[in-house]
Amino acid sequence: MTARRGRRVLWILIPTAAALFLVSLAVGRYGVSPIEAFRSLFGGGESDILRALILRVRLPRTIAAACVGVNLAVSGVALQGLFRNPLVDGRVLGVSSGAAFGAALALSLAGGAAVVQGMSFLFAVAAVGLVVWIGWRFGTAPLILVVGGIAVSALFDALVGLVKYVADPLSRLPAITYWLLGGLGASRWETLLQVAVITGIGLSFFLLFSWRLNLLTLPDAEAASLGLHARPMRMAVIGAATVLIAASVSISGMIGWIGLVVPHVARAWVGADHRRLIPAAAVLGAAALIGLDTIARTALPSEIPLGILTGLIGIPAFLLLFLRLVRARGAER
Amino acid sequence: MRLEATGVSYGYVRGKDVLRDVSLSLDDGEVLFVLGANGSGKTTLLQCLSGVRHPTSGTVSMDGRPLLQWTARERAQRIGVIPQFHEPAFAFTVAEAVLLGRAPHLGLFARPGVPDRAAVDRALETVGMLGARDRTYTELSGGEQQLVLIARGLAQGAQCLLMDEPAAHLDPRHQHEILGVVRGLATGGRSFVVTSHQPDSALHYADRVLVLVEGRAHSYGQPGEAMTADSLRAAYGMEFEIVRGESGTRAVVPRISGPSSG
Repeated sequence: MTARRGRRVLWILIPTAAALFLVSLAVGRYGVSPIEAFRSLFGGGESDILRALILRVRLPRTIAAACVGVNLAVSGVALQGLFRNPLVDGRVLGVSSGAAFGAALALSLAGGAAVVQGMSFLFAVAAVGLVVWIGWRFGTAPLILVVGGIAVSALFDALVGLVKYVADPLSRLPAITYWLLGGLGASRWETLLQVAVITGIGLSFFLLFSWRLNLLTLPDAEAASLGLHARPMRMAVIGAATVLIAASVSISGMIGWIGLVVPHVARAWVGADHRRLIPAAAVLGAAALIGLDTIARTALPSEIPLGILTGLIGIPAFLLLFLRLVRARGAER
Repeated sequence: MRLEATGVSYGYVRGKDVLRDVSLSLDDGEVLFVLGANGSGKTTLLQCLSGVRHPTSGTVSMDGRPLLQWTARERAQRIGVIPQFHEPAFAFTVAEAVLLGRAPHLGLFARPGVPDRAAVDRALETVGMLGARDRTYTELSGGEQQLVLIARGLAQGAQCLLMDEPAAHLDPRHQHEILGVVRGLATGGRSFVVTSHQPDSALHYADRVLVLVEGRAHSYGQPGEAMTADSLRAAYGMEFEIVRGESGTRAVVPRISGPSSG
């Protein structure tokens, strides 16, 4: 797996993602050609209505899909490296459960979109905060963090259940249920801005930190013998990954499997070195989510919740990858 | 560089020291073998020497200055650790694995550059693994992995390398190949501390031998002095004799017929 091959993969991925981006702008209930969509972006195009549709509805939604894809994929790569385990994603730290509780609580109190977004972000960070606190007290060994994460997730899952149980079954409960299914239908410029900024900062951090992520895949004792203080570095990575996931969950609801499957595919293409893996996963994640969201809103007359779609496609993909991994290593284990 | 331990003790549990009052010193070009039964404190000694653990009493010093007074990075630029097992979770290439050794030379957000890659190639060439630089580390044989880990220590720029049972799990030829590389690097000026379960290897490759018995230095000195029937009996709880072959090579042979009760 040479650096040259990694770069070649990126040269294939970036135009693919760009093409998907344009296609996503073009298709929908009112479909046009990608070229027409491209012209609309710059003030040209058929009509004012089409321009308004693309600029105010489809463009923010497609950008949101790209951001969510980048966030989930990049944080998935970082957490898998950190836990030295290719089978973890944001859920292992309780991010999703915390976010779900925050959003459910806001929805049950009839909060607006901004409140829901804020609360889910807040509780996602709080859930990981709890896990990190456990790790700080008892050690950051992967096992301790994973067990802490499972416990905190279960706690917040129970709290989500409680909120659903007491929520008004006619008005609030459906809203909570739909939110939990995940989707980007509510994407508007106003809710997108903070997320896009967070994506930009988080991605830059991980790109700058990418070589250090290689070092963090070493056991702590080995890292220490190389003069590294692993614990603060691990905490920084967990913090950055959490903010990325929380930001994306806060606008998209629960979208599973992207953070697990995309890193695998990217690793199979460009190798384990995070200097190539982070950019490849970022572009692949963006492309995957743009593609899936386009399918979600166009395949059937009514929209398919994105979280369901990523599950339906992600789980078979995950099983396939996992079984291949098992077969490749089967002889040794 | 001189690495020195003076009266080093270490206990994981209060009142139960696994290392007791161990002293040793190591100069450039020397190979020190540490022998002892399982649980005699060999690995703990290595961890104290590398600075990963701080002795509960006594000091380890590098060029006369206690290890604690050096920063972790300064320490890592001088002392390298070659682990017995290194099973990476991900399939890094050999070059990527060796490049990790450059960590103590690079800042927080720095990426390895041309000089670092050159150091990696030099290190791989030294251990004869340059041809494998783009192969996947996890697909290498045990002996090749050991060589790559030595190369990582060299890329690290470490003057002194601490090896935890490098020959474990290797067949005799690969054991001698690894230890031959160690001997060659020592001739070039690097120093090594090697823990081992093979007294024979110590006879062949060590300048000095430390025999640990329950965390204490039972004997310490040149192989011929430190490794006697007496010290080996104390170390392993069984009888050995040191025999001399026709070509003058010596070997440690267990005396099966008369195991001691100790």
